[in-house]
Amino acid sequence: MKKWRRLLMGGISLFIFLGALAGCAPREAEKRASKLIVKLPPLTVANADTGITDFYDVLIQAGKEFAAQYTDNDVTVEVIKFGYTEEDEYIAGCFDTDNAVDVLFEGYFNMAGYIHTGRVVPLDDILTDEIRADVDDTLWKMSQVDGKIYMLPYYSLQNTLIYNKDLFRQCGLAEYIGADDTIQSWTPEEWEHILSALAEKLPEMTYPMLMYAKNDQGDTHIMTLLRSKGSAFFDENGRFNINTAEGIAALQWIAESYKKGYFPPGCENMEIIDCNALFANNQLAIHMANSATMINEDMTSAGIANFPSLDGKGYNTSFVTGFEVFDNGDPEKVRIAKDFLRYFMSSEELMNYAQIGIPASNATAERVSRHIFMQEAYTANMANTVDFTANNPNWRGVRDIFYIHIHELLAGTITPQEAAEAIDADCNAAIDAGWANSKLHE
Amino acid sequence: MKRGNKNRAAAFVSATLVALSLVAFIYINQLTKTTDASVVASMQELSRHDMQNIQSELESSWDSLSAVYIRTMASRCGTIQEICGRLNLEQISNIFNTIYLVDSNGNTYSGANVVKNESEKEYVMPLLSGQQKIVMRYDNVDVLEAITESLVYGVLCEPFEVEGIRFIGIIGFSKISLMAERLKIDSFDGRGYTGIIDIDGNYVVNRDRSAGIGKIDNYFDQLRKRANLSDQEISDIIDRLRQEEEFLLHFNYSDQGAQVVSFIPMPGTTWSIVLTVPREVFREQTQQFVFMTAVMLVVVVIVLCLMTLVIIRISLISATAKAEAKSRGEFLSNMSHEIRTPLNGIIGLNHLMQQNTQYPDKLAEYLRKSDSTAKYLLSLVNDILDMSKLQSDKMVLVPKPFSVKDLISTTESLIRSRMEDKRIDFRVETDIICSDLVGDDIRIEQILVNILVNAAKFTPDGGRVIMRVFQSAEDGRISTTYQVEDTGCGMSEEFRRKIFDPFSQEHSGISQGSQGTGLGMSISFLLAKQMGGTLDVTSRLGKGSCFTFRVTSETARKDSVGEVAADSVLKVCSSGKKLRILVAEDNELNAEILMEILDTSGFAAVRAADGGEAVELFERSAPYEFDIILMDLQMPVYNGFEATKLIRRLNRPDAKTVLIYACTANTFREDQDQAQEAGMNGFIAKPIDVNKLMQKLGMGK
Repeated sequence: MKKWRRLLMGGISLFIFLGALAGCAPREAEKRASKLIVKLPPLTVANADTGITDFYDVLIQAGKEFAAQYTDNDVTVEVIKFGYTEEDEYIAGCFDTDNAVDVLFEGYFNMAGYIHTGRVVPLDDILTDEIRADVDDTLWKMSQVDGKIYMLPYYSLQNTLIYNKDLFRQCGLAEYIGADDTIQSWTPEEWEHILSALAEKLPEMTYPMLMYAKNDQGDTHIMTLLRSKGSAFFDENGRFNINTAEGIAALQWIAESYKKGYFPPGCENMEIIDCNALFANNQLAIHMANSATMINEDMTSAGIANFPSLDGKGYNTSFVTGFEVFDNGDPEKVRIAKDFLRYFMSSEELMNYAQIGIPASNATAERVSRHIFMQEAYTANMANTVDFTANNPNWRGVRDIFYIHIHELLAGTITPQEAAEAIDADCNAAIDAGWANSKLHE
Repeated sequence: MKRGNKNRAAAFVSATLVALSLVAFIYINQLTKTTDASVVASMQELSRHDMQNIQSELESSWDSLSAVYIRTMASRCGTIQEICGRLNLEQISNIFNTIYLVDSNGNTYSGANVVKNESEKEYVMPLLSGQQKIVMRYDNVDVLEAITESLVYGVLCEPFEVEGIRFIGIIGFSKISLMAERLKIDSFDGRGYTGIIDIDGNYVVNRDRSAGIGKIDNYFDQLRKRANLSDQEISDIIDRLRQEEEFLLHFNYSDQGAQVVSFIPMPGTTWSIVLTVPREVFREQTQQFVFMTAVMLVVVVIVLCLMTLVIIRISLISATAKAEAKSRGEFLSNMSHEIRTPLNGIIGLNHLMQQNTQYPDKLAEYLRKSDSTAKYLLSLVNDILDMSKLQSDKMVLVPKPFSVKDLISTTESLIRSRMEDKRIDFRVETDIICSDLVGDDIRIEQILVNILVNAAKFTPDGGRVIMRVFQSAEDGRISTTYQVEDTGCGMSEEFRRKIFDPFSQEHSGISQGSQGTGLGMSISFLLAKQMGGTLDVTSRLGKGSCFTFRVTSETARKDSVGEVAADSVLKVCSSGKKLRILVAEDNELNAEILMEILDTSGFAAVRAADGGEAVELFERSAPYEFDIILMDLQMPVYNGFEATKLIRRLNRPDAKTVLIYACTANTFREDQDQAQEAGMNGFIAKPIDVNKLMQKLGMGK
């Protein structure tokens, strides 16, 4: 019995001793695990050094590299790509859930509205003087609300029209085909001539120009057409101002063009991807494009032109794409998200993917200039760029209703006058609601 | 406990634990199997439900497509443009985003006017080869910005021609999310994961969208990576799916642990419903059942225990009440018997005395016996009262300084005559280290007298009784042991255990044949207990008994014993004249007896019939006319207390000094205290002991 007791006491003493040793042993501090959710729609990028063209793959790579070198937390970066028509489900629909977006990469025109939800955090604290100096002021201004920078510009794309040179030639319009790497601008008269010639001479089941109104995708291109008769589109307060003689004339031109056969039959029920398919199948003479969508285009048979304008110089729109950081109630994740952006900006390789358009970083633009498609022409054409959002806080709300009125106009259920009135009323109501509900991050 | 008993107890406990563990193991094992089977059945039920939903969706989509084809055909379009226009309109009111007609050469014609040859496309080729219906996932990733994920349905239809083109079928593209909606069944609190895979493992519907749009995950690749399955194992799964077999497999994912997966092929397609549920869910279900069962068992056991306790308690209370009632009944019966016996004697003797008034000798004998019997009856009543007070905890001890030696001496003198009557050799042996103690000497004496009277009673003539008194000092206190040993008849062991039982003593019949109340030992035992002492007995039948009473007391100052004794003596001034006594007594007989006793004893007595008259007589008397007032306590007009207070308040010189003795049958301590508070000088208990009365009054002379 005594022996048994001695053994028991010895065992307990050994256990306590070992426990004390374990307690005293230096232990590597465990890093807290954090998951960063990065979301983006399908976006083409380019990097002559890697050949990767899907920005989704770039972000995955960036996430892995960031996590590997990050010492503050055990970070996992999950990248989710959503379809353009699924944005509501993937962004606003995920607010306050485990799948809420921490970092969003998208075009400014869609992304700007989120700033006014109060969920997007200012990025001024991660912008060094060097970074600020590296980006043009015009881009910083587009990224600001009330003096704070909420969006980090990555690259900008210039949206213009693209035309099928072969179809132009078939229709006797070779004279309107410009030289390679140039951007054409046609006068209103030239436009009318081109479109009427195309309508007349194109083979059956082939159509002169893009038009669609099934949903909001690509609606900004239709908006640009509304300036074709001299409309400024917005008033001095950034509100829609289509219900003017110029605006109504543009709507009238759209309605009459449809009747003249300039647009594909049934275009009111078509969407931009339908026109993509028509253009790709040589069934559409004039479509829209930017350097990203033209990456796979055979430019020997395609030319670039501005949207029509009254002065004949033409219009284009500039789309800035970049990052936003969302605050989902976890300051630590906000910090990690900003560290992720800081890491991204510090990597030349990652920044080089902006060569798909005009990189926001001047240093990057200089570094990859030889790979930038038509950089000189696009730069020169910036003089013809029009602002299509006026930085209003509810662009998604505007998009939700704008295409409906164009659909009705094309379907012939409303007149151009009625369409102008309806567009102004509904779009301005959406903008007003956006301002009324605007809440910036505190 | 003996070693053998210990071993048996240990073995019993061990065996019980083993048996319980075995039962618990078997129960949990069976429960696990049952819950597992239940979860599996639930999984298969969910999968079949999903499958039915999907099949319903497929059939509906095919029917819808066929209807579009038939309507287009019936619209008798004259041109291809009209065909496309027709499809454009159909798309508005259809679940399909894009609808193609397919001609016999594999050209497709869309509602967006797109006409192109797609004879090499996977969704056209089956129709060209004659397959009636097709459904597949098709992701258009040609242009990144225009990427779409679609389910493609195709139906081979009745051919018709337009502009020389022979249409043979129709194809429709719908959003993949429409199918996913059909799978949104909240299974196992959202922890079950349902997907649809094709025969190659490619996800048709994958609710996990983390891969992003346009990225089709392959389920079998996941199994290879996460569950470390070999190609052969994957091949086996594919074979079973080809044979349209429903089956269940267990995988161990490297990142998510054990998983249970149900495979259900969908008839008529190459698709299968795959439902994955973490093994943890099974374990939790079992744990939940075990927990609920355990809680239920604990609740049942607690309720049963409580009920048992309540029943036992009620039974015990009932049994105790019955036993007490029975004992009290027996006690009352015995007391009735005991009281009636002397009463019978007194009444009988009175009768005999009435018949023999002319025979003085007989009369004297009867009077002696009557007196003896009356005294016995008095002692019986006193014992009953003591017993009642002890049992109701109303007995009040009066500790005061006393002399142990004096106590022994008094007791010895009280009992010695009895001993001598039976020629018993009565010895007293003492070893006193401190005689002056504090205690209730009256009650100690009562205990000793009870024991000694019993000893004298049950010790035969010529026997021996020894009373030993010895002491020991304990922490400044004195423990005194009083031991009475006799050579009497002794008692059986059975009776020894009951000797102090107040209610069963009479039942034992110990008093039969020997006169006594039978309560003496019970009273002594309870008194000893109340004093904080003990009373026990050892006895051998036929050899004698030995009672031992131990009590511990504080020591008293030597002079205090004398002071107390002096206080107890009433001081009455002597005047040499015949004492005049005012008797306040409402009961005519008692008054007559008392007046006669006083008169024959040489006192001048005046009677007051109630308390009011007593006050009045005293008030009207000359100062110092009455030397003593004998005051009954329960009287009309004023009771004894009130009358005494009124007398003491009178404005006359003797109001405060006249001796007032309570003369009452109320003999409890509280009555005596109340009498003292009212201003009385002493207490004379009824029935009156004439000798004690004379002694009291004699002191007043």
